[in-house]
Amino acid sequence: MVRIISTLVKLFRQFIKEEGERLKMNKVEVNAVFGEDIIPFLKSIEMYYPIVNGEVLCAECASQVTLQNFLSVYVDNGEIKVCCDDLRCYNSMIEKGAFE
Amino acid sequence: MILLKTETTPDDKTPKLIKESIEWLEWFGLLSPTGVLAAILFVLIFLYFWKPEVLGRLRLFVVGIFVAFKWARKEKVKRTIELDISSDSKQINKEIGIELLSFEPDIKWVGQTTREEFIKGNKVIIRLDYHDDKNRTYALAALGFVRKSLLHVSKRYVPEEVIESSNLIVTRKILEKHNVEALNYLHTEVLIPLLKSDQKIREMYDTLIELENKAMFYQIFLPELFRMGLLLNPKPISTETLQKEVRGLIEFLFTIATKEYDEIVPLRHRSQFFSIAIIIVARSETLTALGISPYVKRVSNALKEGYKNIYILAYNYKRKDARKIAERFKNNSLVESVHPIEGKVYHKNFEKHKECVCIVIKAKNIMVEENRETS
Repeated sequence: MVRIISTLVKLFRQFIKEEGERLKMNKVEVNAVFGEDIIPFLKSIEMYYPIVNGEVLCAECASQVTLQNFLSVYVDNGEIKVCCDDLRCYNSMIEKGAFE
Repeated sequence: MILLKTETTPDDKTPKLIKESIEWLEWFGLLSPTGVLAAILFVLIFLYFWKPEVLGRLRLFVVGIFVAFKWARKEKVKRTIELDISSDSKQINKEIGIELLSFEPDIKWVGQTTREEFIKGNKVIIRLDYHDDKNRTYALAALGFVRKSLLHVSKRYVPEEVIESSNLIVTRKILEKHNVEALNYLHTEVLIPLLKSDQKIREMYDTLIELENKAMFYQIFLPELFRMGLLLNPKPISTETLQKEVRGLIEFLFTIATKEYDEIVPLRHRSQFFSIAIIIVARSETLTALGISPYVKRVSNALKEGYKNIYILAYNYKRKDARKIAERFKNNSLVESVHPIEGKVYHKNFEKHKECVCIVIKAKNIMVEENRETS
C-alpha cells in the first residue's frame, strides 16, 4: 500500500512538473479589439470622431480610414496611429509587433 | 428519488454484467446526484490536464450554442483561433519531431481605456471580427501567427523570399485542416496578389511547392533550416554566405524533387552548414533481388563518411522496407536518433498520390565529442 501511494505521489509530482513546463510554453500575445466593441473602444481613446469625420489617414498607405476598413491602432512616438485593412498594412502591423 | 430507486434495484431478468456494473457504480456512490457531479468534475479535471484540446473543443461547442449573445461570439472568435492554430502547430511539430512552430497564440481582448493610458501602454491593437469578416480574420490571424512563430531562431539567417514563401505554405496547411473558406480567402486575397506583385517570392514559392509535393518540404527542408538556426545562433555570419548556403540546399533538393524515374542526380550535399545524404528506396528490382542490404550499406557508408543527417525516402509498400532499414541503425554507436515522418507525394496531375515516409537518421556529433575529450 505504501509503495502504491509513494508511486502515485511520484507520478503526480512528475505530472505537475511536466504540466508546469507546458503552461510555461511561449505564447504569441495578440492584443485585439472585438469588431462589435470597436465604437466604444475608439471613443475611449478619442479616435472615433476623427475617423467618422474622415480626418484620419492610414499610417502605412495614406488612404482614408473608415469604421469599415479600420484594422489596427498603435502608438508611434507618443502619437496614436491608425492603419487600414490593406494586406500590406497588415504585414506592417505584424512587423510592428501585432503578434508579440 | 423513485427513479433512482428503480435503477439501483435491478430485477432478476437483468443480465449479470449490467447487474454487476450497477453494483459497482453504487459502491462508488456514482448513482447519487453528488456522485454524478463528482464524476463530471473528475472527467473535466482529467480533460483539463491530459486532453486540454478535447476540453477546448467541448467549450467551443457549448459557446457555439449561445452565439446569439455577444460574449459567446467574442469567446468563439478567441477560442477558435487559439485552439485551431495551436493544435495544428503542435501536430506539425509532433510529425516533424522538432519545434518548428515554437509558440502558441494567446488573444487578449482590449476593453475601453483612456487616451493617456493607451499611449502609455504602447501596444499594437488589431481588430478581430465574428460576422462579415470571419474567414478573413481567421486567415490573417493564422498568417500573422506563422510569420511570428515559424523558424523563430533560423529566420534571421534565411533569405526573405524563402521565409515568406515558407510562411504561406505552412499557413495554407493550417487553414486546409479547419477552415476551407479562410483558405480560399488566403488564396484569392493574399497569395495570388502577392505572387503577382513579387517575382522573387513567386519563383521561390513555386520551387518550395515542388518540394512539398514530393514530401521534402516538411520532412527535409524546414528541419534543415531549423537545425541551421540552432547551430548558428547567435553567431554573426555574412548574408552572402547564408544566401549561398540556403540556395545551395534548395537547388539540391529541387533537383531530386523534379528528377525523372531513371535520372541519376546527386543524392549527397555537403556545405559549410549542411551535411545531408538522401537514400531513396524506390527500385523494386533491387529489393526483390538483394533485399534491403544495399540500402543498409549506403546508410552505413554515409554515416562513416560523416554525413550529419541521412534521410531515407520510400513510397507506398516500400515504406515497410525503409522502416526495416532504419531499424538496423537504432542502436548504432554513430546514430543519435531515428525519426520517421509521414507524408504524401503527388503526381503531376494531382489525380493520385502516394503515401510516403521519410526517416531521418541523425548522426552523433563525434567530432565535437572527440575534441571535448582531447581538450
